[in-house]
Amino acid sequence: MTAPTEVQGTVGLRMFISATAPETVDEAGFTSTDIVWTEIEQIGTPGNHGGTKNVNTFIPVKTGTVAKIGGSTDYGTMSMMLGNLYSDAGQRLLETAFGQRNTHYSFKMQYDDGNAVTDETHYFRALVSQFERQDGDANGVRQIACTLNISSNIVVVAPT
Amino acid sequence: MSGVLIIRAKLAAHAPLTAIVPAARIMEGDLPEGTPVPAISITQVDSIPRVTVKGGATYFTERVQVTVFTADAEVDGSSASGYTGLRAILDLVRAACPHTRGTVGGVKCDAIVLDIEGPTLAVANPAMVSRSRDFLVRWSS
Repeated sequence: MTAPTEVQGTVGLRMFISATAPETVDEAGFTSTDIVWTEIEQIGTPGNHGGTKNVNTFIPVKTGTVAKIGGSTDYGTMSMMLGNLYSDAGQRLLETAFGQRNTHYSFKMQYDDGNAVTDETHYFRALVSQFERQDGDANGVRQIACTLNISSNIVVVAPT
Repeated sequence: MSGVLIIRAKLAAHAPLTAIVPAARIMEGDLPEGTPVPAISITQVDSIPRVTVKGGATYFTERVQVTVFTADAEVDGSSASGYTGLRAILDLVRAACPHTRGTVGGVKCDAIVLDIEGPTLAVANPAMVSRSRDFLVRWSS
């Protein structure tokens, strides 16, 4: 059993939510058995996740070369689209999280690495800042637009 | 193919329709050669699964085509023949398949949505005319 050696598709991705915060924002913290994960079903589009670094610049007149200095990092927002399924516990927890003004939740994204022993898994903390029902037209499927404002670095656990 | 089952169940259960087209002549797939008319063929045009990133699909949208065949009015002067007969039977097909949510024909039906009606086609031997109506049928497993 080894990590994949080819590029893979997104199909097979599973996403989970927990109201419990990790003791530490790292693999040990997120994989603790204290955190109980609830799967979020009917994810049509998971959205993007990752950081953008603010870059400060300074131009010394001596050289005229723009110096770049790393500043703050924003881990951005993740815009998900879900198929509405009221009976899904994960979707109910997302809606509960949205209803709380400033309570951050833990998230886990588990990719399907085929024969890997441990799938590549991403963990992070986020504030649910959007939970919008989108009904569409007669030919549409009821969906939910859900935005996660990511408030921690992304903890990436490599596949093995 | 579950969309076909749903539409067939709806048509076969609609008494005004089966008074003109007996349930035994409302068939899934192509009509066997020699089938008396008027008759109805129900076929699947396509089936689109709604695939989630998790993989697999439990929700499908199918285009189901209902084609009505009836005798040419010059051959059979009954009210079920010719253009007039086609019109009347297709109106009943439409009435038999309103939006429905629930178990139909053993399938969990989410929606039946009316779609396009096609052109009138004529066949010389045997002398028949036909026209079809599409439905978009959504069902889940």
